Amino acid sequence: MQWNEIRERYPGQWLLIDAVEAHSADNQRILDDVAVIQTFPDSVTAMARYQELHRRNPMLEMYVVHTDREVLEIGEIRWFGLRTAS
Amino acid sequence: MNIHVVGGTPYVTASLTHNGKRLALDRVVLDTGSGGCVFSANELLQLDIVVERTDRLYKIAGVGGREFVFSRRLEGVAVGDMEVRGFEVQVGAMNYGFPVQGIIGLDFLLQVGAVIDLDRLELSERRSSRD
Repeated sequence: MQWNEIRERYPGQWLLIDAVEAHSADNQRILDDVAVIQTFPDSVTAMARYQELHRRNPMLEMYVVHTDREVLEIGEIRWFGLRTAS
Repeated sequence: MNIHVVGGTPYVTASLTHNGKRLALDRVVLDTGSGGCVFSANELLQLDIVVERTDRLYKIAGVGGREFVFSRRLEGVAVGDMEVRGFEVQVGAMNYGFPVQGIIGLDFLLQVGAVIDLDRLELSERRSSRD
């Protein structure tokens, strides 16, 4: 779904969303197709659910967002990550 | 400020102030390879920091996964005597498979002019005066 459709369908709500299709341009992440995983009464429970799902599948691209947000403006940061000595 | 190397990873203690509260985190990775500072969303709940409706969002893309973070300007970020007031950090899940409460990145280290002494395992403020 497009963000506009989601905003109409879930007004004034906290959502956990999954980027079904997305691309990167100029350090911005643009979500072309978005799926709603779950709705929440507040951002704390949404964040807790996000962490639970993220732990199980770190490659899923999920975001906690509120539908008051008119546009999904998502910046992109590159990080090589940590490597421990083993 | 001592640097503790545990399992090949360097940790320091960071002290965060916000909303009139103070939070000390002793499992914070010292990482010059990270441009910014990141802290665990679970820990920052103690400072009443939660994602707000219009927070700036970012996707962190790296090796071994991806995560989303939100951005927040904290009233103070300190490592030892080195403090920056009004400092923007990222807040995220930080599920990296080992215990970590945050990352002190290059932006903070540059701003305070940190000297990383890996011989004495000490992190200190700049020695040279600079205006």
